[in-house]
Amino acid sequence: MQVSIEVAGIDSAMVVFEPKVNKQLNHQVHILRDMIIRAQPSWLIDVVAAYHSLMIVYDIQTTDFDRVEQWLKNQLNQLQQHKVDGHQANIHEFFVCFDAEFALDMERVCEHSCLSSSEVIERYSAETYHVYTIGFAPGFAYLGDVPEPLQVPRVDTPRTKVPAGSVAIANQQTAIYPRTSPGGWNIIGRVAGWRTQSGLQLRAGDQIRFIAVSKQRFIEIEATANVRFEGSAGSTEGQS
Amino acid sequence: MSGRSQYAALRIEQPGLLATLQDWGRFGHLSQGITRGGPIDERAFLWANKLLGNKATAAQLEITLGGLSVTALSHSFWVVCGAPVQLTKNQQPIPTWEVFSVEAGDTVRIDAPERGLRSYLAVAGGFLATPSFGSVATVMRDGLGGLHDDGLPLRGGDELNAGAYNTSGVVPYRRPQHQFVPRISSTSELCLPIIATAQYEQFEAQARQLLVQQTMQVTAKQDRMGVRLQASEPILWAQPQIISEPLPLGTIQIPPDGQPIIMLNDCQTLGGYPKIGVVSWSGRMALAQATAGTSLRFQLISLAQAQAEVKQAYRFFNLTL
Repeated sequence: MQVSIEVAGIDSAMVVFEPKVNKQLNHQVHILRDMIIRAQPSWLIDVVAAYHSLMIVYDIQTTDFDRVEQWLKNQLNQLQQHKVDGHQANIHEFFVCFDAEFALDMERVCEHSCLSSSEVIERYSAETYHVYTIGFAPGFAYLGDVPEPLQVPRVDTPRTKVPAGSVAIANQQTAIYPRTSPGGWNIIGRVAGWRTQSGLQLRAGDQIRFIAVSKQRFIEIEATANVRFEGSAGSTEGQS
Repeated sequence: MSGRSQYAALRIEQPGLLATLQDWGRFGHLSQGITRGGPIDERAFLWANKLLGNKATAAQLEITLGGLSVTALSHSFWVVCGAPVQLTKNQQPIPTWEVFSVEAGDTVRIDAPERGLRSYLAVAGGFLATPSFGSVATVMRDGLGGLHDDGLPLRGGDELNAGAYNTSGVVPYRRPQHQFVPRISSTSELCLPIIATAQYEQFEAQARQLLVQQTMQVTAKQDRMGVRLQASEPILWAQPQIISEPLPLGTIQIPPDGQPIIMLNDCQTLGGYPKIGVVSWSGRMALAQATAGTSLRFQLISLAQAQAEVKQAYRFFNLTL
């Protein structure tokens, strides 16, 4: 395994694996992240994993780069000798309505893929997606891989407002927009009962399935989600 | 303030262009895509808390380009640090970088700065709000923090409470020794110390030279997320696109047009442009007050030097993470 440890910032180090977008490799990055969190060294301030890289923010008042590098090398050795448990991937299921009302770019996806909308929905929901990383915005999970025929490039002019909970495709990646924001991905549906906080339950390395539901079912789920949400209003924390 | 855990501090009359509540920021949540936030000019922020005897991380108002008018709601002690601004209490000019007392009903105004960008208004005890993810720092792009935890800046009519403080700990008219007040110039060239990081070695030798051998300008394309620079000789990346990576604070990203972008406190947690270095703490503090048109030059320093700078500052301000 080709790995390097680099200076990322004044108080941070970057572990860089082979530069490719690959599930197995990304899995290794998440196992390393879990090891670091489990070991919880006293100087650890933050750790964030992306596709093939992982950044560690450390407390420069109590340690330095050389010591962090040495510690990381030991962790990598254990990782390479498979002396660690695998990453515990959570599976999340989301109900998605693909009705035209929500699927703003379905036509575009159909044209690119030469598939009908029901074929697109079938192919899209048959896949189990891997959370490669979370970034760009709170709870924005980069999911993959989108089945080959559905790999449609970003739209030419990004929308200024993509509704929260929109399910969207950009090439081999797919995502749920955690909150209403600008965005340039192809929107093909909307998650039922999605809340701003929903994305914060997702962790890199988790798995996600989408289950197609009717408009009627979407409305029912939205209604129950509202009740649930009002019951827990005021608590945005819920994190350790 | 004995017997009370908090007091009514002030009401915003006019927020000006941008006034946000900021404490030291959110830590430990990068993996959820939650950025750090916090004061852009950390040095001015730390001075304001130090002068009032507050905890180093206590929440303050960050005011960009002045225009703020507030009414005091209780007797207290305040201080304004940061850019040189005209500061008035009931229309009477008073000095910045110096602790002053207020009584209920006093009007305090911060006008547009003569030079620089940001001012910090701190009150004894620090402002209070309900934290989310451990912080009240306002991050507009994340919709987190602020008075109502919706990421919105302060608005006219907002009323803020502050924490109780020990009256014996507050020294009216306290100010830093003259040499400690950072001088902000809009005419002299800034020297920003940087360290080489990430893709630095993969840039061609010519690009690496252009990074340190030319004067660049700060542009108006800047906010709490980052600052775009204008270089007459673009710094070009000759390699294929890179895969998105975590983005450390102060990183210099090089987009395809070769014009550097320096990432500040509200930057996204991942970035897909090549990175050539990271600006040191003192460099980032100078940049926090650099208006459009300011000239600057990068100078490479070692990681040890860059860390020594931060350690010295944290020790001075009694900041432990």
